Amino acid sequence: MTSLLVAHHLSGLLSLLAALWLWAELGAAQPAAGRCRRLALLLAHLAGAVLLLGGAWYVLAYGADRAVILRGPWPQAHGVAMEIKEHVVFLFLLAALYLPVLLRDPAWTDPSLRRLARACTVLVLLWGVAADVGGLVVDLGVRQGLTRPAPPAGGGS
Amino acid sequence: MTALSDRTAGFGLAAALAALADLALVLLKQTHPAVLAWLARSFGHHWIGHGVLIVGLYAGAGLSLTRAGLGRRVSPTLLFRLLLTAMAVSGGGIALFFALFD
Repeated sequence: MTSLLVAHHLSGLLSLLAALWLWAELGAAQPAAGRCRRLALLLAHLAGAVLLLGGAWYVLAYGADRAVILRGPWPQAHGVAMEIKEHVVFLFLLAALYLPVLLRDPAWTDPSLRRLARACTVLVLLWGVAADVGGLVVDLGVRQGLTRPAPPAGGGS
Repeated sequence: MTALSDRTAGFGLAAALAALADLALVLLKQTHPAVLAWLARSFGHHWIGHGVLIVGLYAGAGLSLTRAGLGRRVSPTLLFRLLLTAMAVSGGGIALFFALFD
């Protein structure tokens, strides 16, 4: 299960790098069509891998971490951070899946379409970073749960 | 005005629609336990069901809207505004919902 999580993190990191690279390529005076399309395809595949790997880990292994988080002092790491992460990641996927379609448009080098394509790369970056920060908070929530047990419910001093 | 291809317009509108559906499904799942239970029962886990419905909507609506031939009726600027607004509303709505009602 650890390897699933590592692969999820790595594919997420690579997808952010691919989005950043594509954003830079699209800003060139004469963007290279082949490279932009290959990058968009790579990004779409990486985003798919991020969801499949992270989803498999979430469905198969996250239950144990959730139990640790919920009995620790940071229950919001699940109730807020993980809940946001697991749902905004679909926005990340949608923006990544749309880019290869957009860059197949015969008029894709038109400034208005390139602006739309660059906006999609920014959306991938934005939702990707948001999901990554969510993952960080979840990791910290687990750590807090393991090292600092929550005080007994209703137990005043 | 630059004309979009029918596929660019169709899948762009589908992405905006699927983004809003993501928020709608979150609200529906969290406020109606029966929906959450149905997703879990039908797909093995509610998150898998959520993903299948969103990606399925994107693909299905994208193909349908492409066939509808909207390329000349949707400008790049309109698509840009629709897509960014839908993504912002959906992401912001999801974050607000869980931050306020956890």
